[in-house]
Amino acid sequence: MIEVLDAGFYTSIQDQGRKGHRHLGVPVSGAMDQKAFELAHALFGEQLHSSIIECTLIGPKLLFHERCSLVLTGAIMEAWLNEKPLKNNTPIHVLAGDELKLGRVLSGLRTYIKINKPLILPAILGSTSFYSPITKSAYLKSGIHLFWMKNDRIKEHSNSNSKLRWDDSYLTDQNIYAEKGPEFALLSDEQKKLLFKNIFKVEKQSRMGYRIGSAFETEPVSMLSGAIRPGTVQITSSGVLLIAGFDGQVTGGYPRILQLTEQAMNVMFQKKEGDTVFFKFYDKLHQKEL
Amino acid sequence: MYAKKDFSFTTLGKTFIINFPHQNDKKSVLFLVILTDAIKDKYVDYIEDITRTFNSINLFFKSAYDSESVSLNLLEIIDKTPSKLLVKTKKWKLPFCVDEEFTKDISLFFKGNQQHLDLYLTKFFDLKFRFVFYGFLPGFPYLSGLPIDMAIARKSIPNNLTLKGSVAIGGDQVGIYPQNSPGGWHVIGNCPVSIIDFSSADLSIINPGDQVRFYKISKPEYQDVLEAIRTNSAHPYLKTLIDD
Repeated sequence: MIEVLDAGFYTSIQDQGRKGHRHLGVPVSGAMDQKAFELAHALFGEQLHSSIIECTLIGPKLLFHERCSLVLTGAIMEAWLNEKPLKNNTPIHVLAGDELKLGRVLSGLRTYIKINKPLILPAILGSTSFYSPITKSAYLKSGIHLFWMKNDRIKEHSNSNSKLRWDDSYLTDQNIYAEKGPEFALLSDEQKKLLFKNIFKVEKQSRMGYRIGSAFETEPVSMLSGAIRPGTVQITSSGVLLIAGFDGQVTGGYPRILQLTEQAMNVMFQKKEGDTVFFKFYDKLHQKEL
Repeated sequence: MYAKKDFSFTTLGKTFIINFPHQNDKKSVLFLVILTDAIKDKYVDYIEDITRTFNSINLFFKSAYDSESVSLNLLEIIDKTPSKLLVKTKKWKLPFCVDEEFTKDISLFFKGNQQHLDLYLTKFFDLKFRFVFYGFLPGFPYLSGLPIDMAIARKSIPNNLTLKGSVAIGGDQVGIYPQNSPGGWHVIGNCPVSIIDFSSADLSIINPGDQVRFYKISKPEYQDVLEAIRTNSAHPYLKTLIDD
């Protein structure tokens, strides 16, 4: 059992997501950084996806009442186990009474805490991912307890996966690769050129999506709502770029000018307010990041 | 009604989009219900989800796909889909309160002219809508069937708070807010009954093609329904499905 002593800035539970319910208007949810989510499972040699803790900007303080193993992936935060500094991507044993403390983020935005036990959480529409109002709360609250299944024969982590290679350079990468979206043609030739040349600054971010300013004013178009997925970039008539996150709406009413590649989403969703990025054109036909 | 040439295809990452013009007539609406089902049957093993909007069908593929062969397959399905198949649709009636507490938005739109407001609402109660899809928020239904002369453009600046249950007009679309939310549509009243209860195991809900009508209830009746929902007790207005 884990006692949440301090929940941190914005900490939630995420799993593989609430797939198959978009037709009811329900966002897919799930980890914003899929690469870190996959890596956390791989480091424990787990094939099936389980619930994991997503921390944002400032991490939580957790007291473990039973022993288990844990690993941190994704953004690099200040991290200590009983005052002893911890490294990302390295599974460690935790004993009853141990305290895990995550502080401020040092590189990236979202850190994942994965333990090698199946957490007991209510699955709604097939997923434990937090998303209000489908789940009661959007984030973990201080003082709550997280329980896990007992007698579950989960092997203690060995060092069998220590040779797994990972590369955290994406945390500082500024290049966001994207394909053209269905309404890309609404941009002027000049705007199309500048979109892949200018530097852009993140104004606001949440799990719903990112807001980025641009000088690209466009003709207001009265569009019927269209389908949106994580990584879809819409542009408002005043030039605001809206990048849908994993809690983003399933439909949107603005022109869809870009679609981020799966890898680019991991890079993008580790950016925080004030960070800068460049959009790079991804040529799908030639499978090249130009 | 649609012809094969009305359909075009685009992609949005792992989502494949079938585009067509928005048509409001019953025949077109039901044809798209049949077509969506046929496409779903064909691709069920390859997709996470299939969604609709007024002018698109969207296939959310599990992994990368060959858009050329998908296009060819879809054209074949479109060709084969009969336009006159009988669709089993349901009829729903929803209680709707237009007490002045809920009509501030629309009253403002009519600049306080009570006669215009009453006429608009009277016409509204006579209309039959068809449910087309859920979008925007979980359980937010998009209904078609509002005549174009009753369409009201979205607000240029959205409200910070549109209340749960608000029945609202955005262009010629009608929607019901399933939760409190910012919103840019003009609210014309409030429906106390939830369309979907996500906490319930039984999601017996309004499906694409189903007919939806609104009937007028008074403010005290509205309060009664809310109370019945709160105490989980029976109330005639909670029965929203019309028996055949």
